[in-house]
Amino acid sequence: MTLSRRAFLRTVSPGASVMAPAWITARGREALEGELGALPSPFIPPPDADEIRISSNENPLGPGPSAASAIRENLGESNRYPMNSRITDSAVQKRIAGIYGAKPENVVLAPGSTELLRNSIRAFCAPDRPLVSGECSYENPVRDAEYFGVPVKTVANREQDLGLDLDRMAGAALGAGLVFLCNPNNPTGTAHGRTAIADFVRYVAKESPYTYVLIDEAYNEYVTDPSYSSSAELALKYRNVYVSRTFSKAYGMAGLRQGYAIGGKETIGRLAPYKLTFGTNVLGLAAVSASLDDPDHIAKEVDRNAEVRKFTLDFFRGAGYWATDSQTNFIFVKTNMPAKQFREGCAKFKVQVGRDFPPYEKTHARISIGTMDEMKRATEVFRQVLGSAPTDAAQAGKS
Amino acid sequence: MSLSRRDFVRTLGVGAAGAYAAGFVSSRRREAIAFAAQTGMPAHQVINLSNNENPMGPGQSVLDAIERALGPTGASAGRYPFAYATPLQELIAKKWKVKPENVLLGAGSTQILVNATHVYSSREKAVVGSLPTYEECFGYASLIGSRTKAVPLTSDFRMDLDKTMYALKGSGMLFYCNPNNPVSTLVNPSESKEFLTRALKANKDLRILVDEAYIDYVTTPGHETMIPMAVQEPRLIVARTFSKAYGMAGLRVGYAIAHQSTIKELDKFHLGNTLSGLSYAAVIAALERDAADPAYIPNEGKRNAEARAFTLKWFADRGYKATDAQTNFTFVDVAMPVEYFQAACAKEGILVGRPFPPLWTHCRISIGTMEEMQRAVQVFDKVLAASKAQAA
Repeated sequence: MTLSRRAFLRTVSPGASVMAPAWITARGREALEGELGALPSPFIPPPDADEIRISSNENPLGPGPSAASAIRENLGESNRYPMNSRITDSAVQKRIAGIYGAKPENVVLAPGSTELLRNSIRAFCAPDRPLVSGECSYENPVRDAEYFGVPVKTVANREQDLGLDLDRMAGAALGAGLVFLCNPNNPTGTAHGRTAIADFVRYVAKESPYTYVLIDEAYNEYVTDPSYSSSAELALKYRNVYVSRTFSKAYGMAGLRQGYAIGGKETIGRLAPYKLTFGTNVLGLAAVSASLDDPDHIAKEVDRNAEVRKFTLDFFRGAGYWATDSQTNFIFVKTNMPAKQFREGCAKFKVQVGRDFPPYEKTHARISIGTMDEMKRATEVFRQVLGSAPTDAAQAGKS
Repeated sequence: MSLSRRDFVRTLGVGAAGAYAAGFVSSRRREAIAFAAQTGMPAHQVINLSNNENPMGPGQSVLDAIERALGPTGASAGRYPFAYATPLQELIAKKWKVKPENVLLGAGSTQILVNATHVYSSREKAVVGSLPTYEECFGYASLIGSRTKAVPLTSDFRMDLDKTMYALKGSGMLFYCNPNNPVSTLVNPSESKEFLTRALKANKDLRILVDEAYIDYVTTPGHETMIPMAVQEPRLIVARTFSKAYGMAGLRVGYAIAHQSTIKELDKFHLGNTLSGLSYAAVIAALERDAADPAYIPNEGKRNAEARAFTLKWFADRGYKATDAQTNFTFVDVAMPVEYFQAACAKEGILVGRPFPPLWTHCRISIGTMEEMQRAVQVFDKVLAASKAQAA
């Protein structure tokens, strides 16, 4: 099957609808020309040897050997619904809750964060209870809000470091349905420390107690700043706060669609009814279960990422380009060139980088952190593409 | 599928009946409905006939494809799999001789049912379905505050088309599950086509979702899919799944086939990014196998038909009435409240289906392997005999 010889589509936006016409690729069609017959089944190839995909914040190493073994061992469960399989969704839910000293009622699973974010809009927002989000933050909640007729208040990121402006978001939160607080933030990579987050949460809890705060910690594991810690504890303490997590990033399971939210019983109880019945697949559950048993693996991945992230940041800063203080597995760089131009330039060399991120799409690029080998090759490409683009070591965030 | 892989069944409580509120908010939508009893029995002795799963699994070529997709290091599982939506849509389209624009993928047909209910029902525009039917559409409708209308079955447990026609007035969507879950009965294609056509003509705002989850298990000769009608008729949608005859309930893949404009409407609400990369590889392999070995799924149908016939005969020989089963499950009047039958069977390591109000004494029993059914009926014998002795 020609499919087996096709590489992945590169410049994929995780938030895009799978039907978006601009997105349907000629490769897919190509793959089906002619042959359906006695063909070998396809396998999902890694990116071509000479192609570097650093556009979607994926973990280039995947979920690791424990998870891969667990998948192989549980192939025989493919015919069982997740409540009947050897590793059930309830068991995983209970296991995750246990990590936080919580109960199953404090946790809801989802096939990745996409569903959780959308269900959050449904559960907590309304035409008279807006969504609050950073202006330059993960886009999906805003899109979902628009679909459901929920007004959106966006708050500009801080000029000096492109971090979320918690003070102004706190103001905007009064009377809102939900605050979407992406921490660490995508795409800027910045993270607020535990004190700032706790202050924010306390303020909103006091001044606007029926405003909910969703802290999206998709990149939680990659943070190295010691002033940061996860807000899961806050979520168990404050009714109006809950945290969403994913296994797509540090856990390397973007392909397996596994995520969860953790929070108070009442809050999760408002979110859970919107969950898609049997949403999580059994092989992904097996992989998650194995990974939770292998914390060393995650620790190693975090170290690996930190090293390669530093290498990549050093490259840009050394070349005179300002970048945010990234606490994730991607960096946000002021290339002083439109993101589209940078992206297209890199694509010519088979390096795929991130999409446009308004309002910084004329000057900033998001680049995911691949393997050290990939980033060594990628930075050579960046050097060429940037060419004589003006450096901007002096000031942050100004166009 | 190998019983030795089964863990101990955990207790979820047999309180499911209490969860059936008047508004059909189905506890199925919470997990706990798929009851279990703590049997204390070793895993390999438990036979699960409660959720219409295919005991044969997806087939070796599919399992091989999943392994190949995973690769030696599993690195591919770290990549978003969205690129596979297009080739899969195209394979499905090719199989049914439709266009990719006529296909919408979902994480199980569950997602399709939810999607359609969301788009086509409201407080004013009811979801109509039989009483009982598969609960997903009614459950979701209750969640979002859409009206629901449940239409009693005929005396032989078929969908009552005349009564349904009456209920369709002013309604938003008809959920037409054919063959019907849990009753296992079929409306034949000519009657279906005539009814569906008449229903659409009489109700200009009505949409009809035809759920063909079990169609591969139909043995009534001359049965046909409504897919060709669906691509022509913008108000008709067919839902299909890989969970049953294709044996992939755990991999969560289903799809809808409909007119291009209908797919576009559904897609506006549709939540993307729910399918796993390994699931894509699995169903792509299954569809390629369909093309290379068109007897495979029909053979699975034959295997099921044999075990089903055995099971039906066993009950019939002892005077227990079952419906005319056209799926991979039977619906039998066990002459006692289903919860009791369920709990008693579970104690002996046989898991059977949940209650389906208002048919309080009918048990839905999935069809496992012939060997599993031979063991299961021994337990049924014991449980039914004990009940008879008590009644005497």
